[in-house]
Amino acid sequence: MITESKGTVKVITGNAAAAWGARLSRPDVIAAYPITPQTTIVETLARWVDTGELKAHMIRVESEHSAMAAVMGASAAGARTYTATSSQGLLYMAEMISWAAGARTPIVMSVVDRALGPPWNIWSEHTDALMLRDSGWILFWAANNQEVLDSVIQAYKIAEHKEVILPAMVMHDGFILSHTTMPVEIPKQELVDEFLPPYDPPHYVMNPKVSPPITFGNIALPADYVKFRLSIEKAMKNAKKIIKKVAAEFKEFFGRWHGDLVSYYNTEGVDTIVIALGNVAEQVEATIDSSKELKKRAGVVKVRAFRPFPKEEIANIARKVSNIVVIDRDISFGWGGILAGEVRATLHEFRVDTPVYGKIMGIGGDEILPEHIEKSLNEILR
Amino acid sequence: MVITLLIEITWVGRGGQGAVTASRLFASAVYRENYWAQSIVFFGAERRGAPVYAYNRLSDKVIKFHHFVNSPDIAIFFDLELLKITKVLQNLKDGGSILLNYSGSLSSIKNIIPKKVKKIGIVDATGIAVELELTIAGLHVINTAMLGALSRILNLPSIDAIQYVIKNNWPGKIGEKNAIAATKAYNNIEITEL
Repeated sequence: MITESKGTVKVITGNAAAAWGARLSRPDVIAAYPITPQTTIVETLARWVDTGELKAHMIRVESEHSAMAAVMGASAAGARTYTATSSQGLLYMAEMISWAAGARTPIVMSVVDRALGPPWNIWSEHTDALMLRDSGWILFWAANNQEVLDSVIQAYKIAEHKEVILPAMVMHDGFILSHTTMPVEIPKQELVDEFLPPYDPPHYVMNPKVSPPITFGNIALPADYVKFRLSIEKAMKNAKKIIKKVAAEFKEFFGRWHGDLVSYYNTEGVDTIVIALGNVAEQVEATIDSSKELKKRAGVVKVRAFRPFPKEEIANIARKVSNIVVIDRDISFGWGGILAGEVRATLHEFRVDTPVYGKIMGIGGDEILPEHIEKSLNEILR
Repeated sequence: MVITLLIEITWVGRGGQGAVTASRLFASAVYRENYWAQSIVFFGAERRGAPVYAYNRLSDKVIKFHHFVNSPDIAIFFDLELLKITKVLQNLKDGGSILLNYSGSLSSIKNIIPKKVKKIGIVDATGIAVELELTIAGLHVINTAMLGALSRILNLPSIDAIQYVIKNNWPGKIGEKNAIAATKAYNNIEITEL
């Protein structure tokens, strides 16, 4: 059970946990546009700004596109920023999302995963955020409400690290987490302040101390453009190291460990590993936990960071087992599961020939039941 | 690995009756007594009067399952029609319990209660709401009375914990009134072992 020494435990939704993560990180500027199932995050933050419990500027905008533009401008001016969205709202933001990465604005955004329409559907699916796979953002998936809160705080520390300076998204499943309550420890503000000092931007638009002055968003001819893009790739590689460092430091401060790029469950002495994102992985862990037979055979690698992708971790564990099963709560039409594709490419790159079985489940909020997971695993294990 | 305690609950109410709130308050109340708890809600196109489902899991260990409760240990119905028209009773676990808001007697409905039900609690939550004048927008507020009744039939959490979360959720007079409703239901529920 949770110890209360480092905070207060409340039984709250995933969206409340995201709002608490943002509040404790002391953002200067928040801009967001409502969309189900994200809405209650910004409603909560707006209420706190109104009561004065959160000292931040809340910018009301007419669209998600403007929300991202607003936080990008604020971030470029040296502010710590937060926004949140889902599904179609995220896609409407997409033009600005790509710009935020190129502009090296370390915005943190919660994305409450929701299927894309039509048909109209408000339930969970990871395809929305995965469409931004190549945008240059760090992408995290959280498995439970505690991890939602903790990952938002960690995301600031990683995104703002001087070797990274990239924006970060923290995903959690619509309804399954966003509107489900469970106990969550809300850490003490003083502890978070100590863990996450104010943003100290290495460069920003309004800083008179930066000399010579710098300009943003200018045209770069091909030879220069390559350098900018290469610097994002380098920052992503650095982020792998920083994610590990920050996760370890977080454990020291708050006593909780959700994994770094990945987390491992029951991976010793088994012949099969299931790989899945965030909450899907936790559902698989619970299923394995409830079956003696499965527990002898199968373990789980929960992918927390989808970008940067944990290639080495996945290749290393795949070498030790006979089967890899990837469960995707997403689909790339004409291809298949997106995570399964990344895993297969990784194993090829590292010359690991363990077979990879891809399963697509939970599309549009369709339930991923323990019996579905068991059936899939038994087909492979028999 | 062995789960020593896992109780699954399904709430069936009607849009506007507060089944969702009751499920959430229940999770907060059992956590106060050191149980891990989830409150899961199915959101769709809610309309006043249409059936609404909410779910709880509680355990003495952290719960990592995240799907809806499909076959509950206890099913809670905010009125008799909901017991008849939904499939919840069909999916109740063997040996499960029912909690029903109903002003009649058990003998008048016994023919519709399947054999697998081992315990039934009947409470006139609507009567309590009428007596206490607990109404919102013309609807009788019965969710807090049902919480009190649940505490009694489940033996968990204590009525004190239920009262605490109710008063904490609605500070002032409204909370007081709802806490009285919960206590009345706790005292008045008729529990029969079948």
